[in-house]
Amino acid sequence: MIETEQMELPYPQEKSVFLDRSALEAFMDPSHPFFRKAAAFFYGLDDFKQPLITLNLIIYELHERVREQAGPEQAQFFINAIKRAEQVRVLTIISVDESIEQEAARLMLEHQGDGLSFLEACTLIVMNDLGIQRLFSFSDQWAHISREWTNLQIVPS
Amino acid sequence: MEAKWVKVWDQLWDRLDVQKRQTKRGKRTAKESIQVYALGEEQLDQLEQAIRKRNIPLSQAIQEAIDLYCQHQNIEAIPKIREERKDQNPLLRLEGLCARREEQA
Repeated sequence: MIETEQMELPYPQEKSVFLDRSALEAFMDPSHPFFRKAAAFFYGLDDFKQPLITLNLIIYELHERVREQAGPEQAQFFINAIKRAEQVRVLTIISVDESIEQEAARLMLEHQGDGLSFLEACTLIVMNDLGIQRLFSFSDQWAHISREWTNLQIVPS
Repeated sequence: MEAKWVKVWDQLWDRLDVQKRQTKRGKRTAKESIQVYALGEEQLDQLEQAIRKRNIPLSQAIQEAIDLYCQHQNIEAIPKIREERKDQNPLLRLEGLCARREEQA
């Protein structure tokens, strides 16, 4: 996992896609209303020109969710797949450090009206730091946030 | 093999051979090239039955058989392509992960 201060993306930021928790949740659950949409998006990606970025916190939360929903073996499978994706550089996991935490706390205070969660604030900080504009998400909350943050592009539209 | 079926086989072979030569002219890769398989006795019998039942010309029966074969090849190719993509992008292996415990049970 990488910290943003040390990080230089080896590809154009405008093509990178930030991976929200809801995107992987939908892709992993065939009964999810957006399962097919998520699968279509994942299979439609050009793996090496549209790399995915996410946060370590999102991975931890998803691991817990897979364990609860599908059991420990599948949770381990999830971790292994994530590690492998990181090794082959189709996924970059950003580690939320103290500076991101502080920035996120400040952002939450400044935008109290938006009702940002800590994870959403961290996502906005990291996306801004890395110059990423596209967010792969099925969350209504992100659709709401994107009205305020006009640079933010929620995909699939 | 009866003389009639030798003729059917020769015609089928010629058709596939022409496609194979065209493929070579187009300089396709080995992956894209058309592969030639021999029809077995059972398949030849089915072809004969189809010709009798539907009263269609031999050439049409052969073309339909080739189309059907190619269609099946394409259907089989999709999971293979998906498997290759999963090697490139291991995240694709997470598809439907949360339902697998129920399937295994």
